[in-house]
Amino acid sequence: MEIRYFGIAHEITNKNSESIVIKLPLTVTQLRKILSEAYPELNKLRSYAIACDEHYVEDSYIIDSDKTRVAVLPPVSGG
Amino acid sequence: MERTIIEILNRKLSLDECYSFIQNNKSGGNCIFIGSVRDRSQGKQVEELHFEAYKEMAVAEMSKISKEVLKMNEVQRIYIAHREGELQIGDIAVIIGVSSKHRDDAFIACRYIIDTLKETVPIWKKEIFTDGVSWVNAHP
Repeated sequence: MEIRYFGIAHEITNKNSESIVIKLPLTVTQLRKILSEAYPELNKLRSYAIACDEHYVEDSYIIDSDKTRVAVLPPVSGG
Repeated sequence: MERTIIEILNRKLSLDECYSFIQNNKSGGNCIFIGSVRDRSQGKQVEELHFEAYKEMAVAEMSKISKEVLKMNEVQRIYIAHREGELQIGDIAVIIGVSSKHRDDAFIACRYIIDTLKETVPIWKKEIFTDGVSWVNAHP
């Protein structure tokens, strides 16, 4: 599964994206746990959202395909 | 005729492009909001800004906002352009233009678009100071 990192998240992870092999299905809550263990600095952010296929998803959302385009989105600050 | 233009651009934004798109003979009110780069932030001198966008999703989120606004009967056209990349002080970061039959809906819609954009559209601002950098809003 491909995960993209934006804004400060790509500085924290030092990656624009990465492919991870992970057992599916997986809830967003479970994904957050994996991410915060791999990158503890993410926990210091005000918050971060997860997007799947270019849509914001709730923590209860279930990722069931490794084709899902996952993104880690720190608090936005456009405009 | 498309009623909406939504763009994320890595070049200077143009007021002419905005106005020439939103102006039409059904509209008597044209409201344009321009967001530009300030020289100071967090009490410090800003050197330059960097905008990063999750382009595909940012365009999708801006389209969602536009669809909401087009439900207002009097709104005719909507133009939303946001910069990405490096910006200098004074550069335009965002232009929102709305035309409507009368001015009230244009003002309301323009305000709604910029306020919602700031809350939901995945674009990030990095401020570069003389003594360091800061991703705006990232930390509590």
